[in-house]
Amino acid sequence: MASTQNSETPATEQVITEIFAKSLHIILESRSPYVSSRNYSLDQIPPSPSSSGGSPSTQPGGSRDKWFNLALRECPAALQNSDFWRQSNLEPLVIEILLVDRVSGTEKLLERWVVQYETRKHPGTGRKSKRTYRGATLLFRSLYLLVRLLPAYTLFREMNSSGRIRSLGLSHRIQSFVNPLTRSEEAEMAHLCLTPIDTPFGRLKHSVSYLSVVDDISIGSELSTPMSTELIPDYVGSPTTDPLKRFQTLPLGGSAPICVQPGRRHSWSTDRLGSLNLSPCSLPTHSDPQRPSIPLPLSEVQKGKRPVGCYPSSLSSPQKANLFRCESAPVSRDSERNQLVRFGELPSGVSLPKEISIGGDAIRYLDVAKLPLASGSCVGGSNVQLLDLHDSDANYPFASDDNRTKNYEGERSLAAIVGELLRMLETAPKLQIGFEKSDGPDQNPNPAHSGSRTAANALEELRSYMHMRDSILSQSGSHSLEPKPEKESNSKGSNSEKEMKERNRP
Amino acid sequence: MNCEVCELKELVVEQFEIREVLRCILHTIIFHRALGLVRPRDINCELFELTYVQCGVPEVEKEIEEKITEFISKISKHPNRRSHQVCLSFYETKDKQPAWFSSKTERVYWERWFINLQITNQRVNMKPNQTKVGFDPGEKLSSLEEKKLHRTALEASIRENLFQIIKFVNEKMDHLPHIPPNAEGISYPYEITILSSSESSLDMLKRMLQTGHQTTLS
Repeated sequence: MASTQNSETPATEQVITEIFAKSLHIILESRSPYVSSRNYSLDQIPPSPSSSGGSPSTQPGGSRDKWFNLALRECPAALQNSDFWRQSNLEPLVIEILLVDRVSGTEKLLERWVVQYETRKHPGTGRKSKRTYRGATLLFRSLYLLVRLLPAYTLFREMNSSGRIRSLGLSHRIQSFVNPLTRSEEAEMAHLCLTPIDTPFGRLKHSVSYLSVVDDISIGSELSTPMSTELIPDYVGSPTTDPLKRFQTLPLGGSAPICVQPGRRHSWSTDRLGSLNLSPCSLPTHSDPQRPSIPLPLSEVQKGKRPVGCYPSSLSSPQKANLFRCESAPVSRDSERNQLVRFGELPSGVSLPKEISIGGDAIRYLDVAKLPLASGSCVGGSNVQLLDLHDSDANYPFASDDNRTKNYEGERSLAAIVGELLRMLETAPKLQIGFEKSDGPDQNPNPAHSGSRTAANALEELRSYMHMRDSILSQSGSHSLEPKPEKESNSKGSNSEKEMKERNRP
Repeated sequence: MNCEVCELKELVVEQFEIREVLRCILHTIIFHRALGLVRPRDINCELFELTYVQCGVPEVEKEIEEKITEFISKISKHPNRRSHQVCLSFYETKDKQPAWFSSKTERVYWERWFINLQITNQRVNMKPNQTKVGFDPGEKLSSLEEKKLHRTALEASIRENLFQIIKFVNEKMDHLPHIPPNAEGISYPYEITILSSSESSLDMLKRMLQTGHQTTLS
């Protein structure tokens, strides 16, 4: 049995020792979720206590849990550490309750309980051991309630309510010395002291320093800090992320969501997926200025608010779209091929349109056979690669029905084809310059102004461009064109127009 | 023997909150005075984010429920009265000189707890149009906010009451009678009384000291 420096009687020594044990038991029972989940129910406890009563040491078996007339459930954590303080009752029992982030390994001090025996300066003025026992009995009633009133108990309850393994957990540390609190800890912690238990030659003090506010940490469902409501513009399936939907709802003067640098593969390629930084966003800490919050570097996402692996919402629009595109929208072969087509990369059997320059801006129709597969062009630049409308092997929306049967893989819907065409037309430089120089062609305003586009609008736009092309071809004649008969291309264009008209007919 | 008195801070409660509030306060006090062997039961409040402790004695739980029911029925008979008190008293039974038409024993109260409640009924203050289907959503939102504020404030007040109890029981111990040996559960007899709003706790104490008799007001 641990002994105090002064000559406490053996009975008092035993009471003091049991006070330490009971304190440890009460505190860890309500702070150690693992332990509490394995406690047996109260129904398994005999309804009536032993008839011997009095000090538990006199009862048959001397069960410790009945000490101070407070029968507690088993607490293995307390039993494991019960020998720690048995070295000497003069050493304080320091129990630190920590909030642990299992992912990052960081710890946050939630509570520090200190049970300390102090010798009395003037021995002999203390109470007898019986009164010490009664004083301890009263104190433990209060201690039992106090541990349930402090904020850390809320976390304990939430962790116990679900059997899931959480990233945040409660841990404890038992020491025989008191580490001084840091300034920040001192500032945000409150302190409580219970009335000391008098002994004949000393007294036992119970005190606690606790974090007064832990409301910002929600443990119920892997929460970090509560998030403020945010509007996510680039959600999955939004027009800015899905080209198909973008075709249906085009913003005025909207720019392409994806900006591909020359020489780089477009953002939807699988090669680019692995290189993207997809770390979860750091959630803003929602803190009340009057109540300090716990600044933990938490990486969990609030359940129900955003899926795991949420994306930062503060990125620039091109990158934002990239992230969402790569993470949210499935990169299908068709969509990838759509982009390949857009940038002039077509699989075998499909050729790109020819190159046409209009004034200072060049609209290039290139043959796919002459292009490297990985080539691309800056969409927003002056060079735009369009589909070869007069290539017999091309699967153009305006092509004849025969050509539509030749698909890359699977089928491309008309809307997809028209959508891509429209996007190319939108990103094309304004034709006002070219229009000023050319005669004859319909001076079509920039088609990408209307909010909603239909196939008919695209057809009209295409028609205008075809007229423009024809006029330019007829005027200049020094542009480098593939030696294909214009009649054939015109016929294809007209066929495609007829086709569109037929489709548009109800 | 001194009779220690603890006047708890007044709690503003609604009709449907009375039972849970009184359970929390009464059980907490009795748990601190049930110095026999007990197996505590943790009770999580349904209306509040609070956990209080019961001593685990079924008879105590039953008596408290009966007294709360009695209290609720009494206040319903006096809807105009807003302030009510529940008194939890601990006493000792002492023998006295037998006399005609008087009991042989008397109760000597050594501790009294006064639980002060102010009953509010927000539904009374609701505007008539709030009961209709098409009332202003803004008014509904404000009433929800008011309820939330009330609930938060009440929870804080209950916590304050509980800390007040802890402080009181830790500071004053000398007046406690000797605990009978082999005591199980409740070590001291107690009684729960419901005071009318017309009589204050001080008046009741004066009457008790003058007469020395236990008086149950109903």
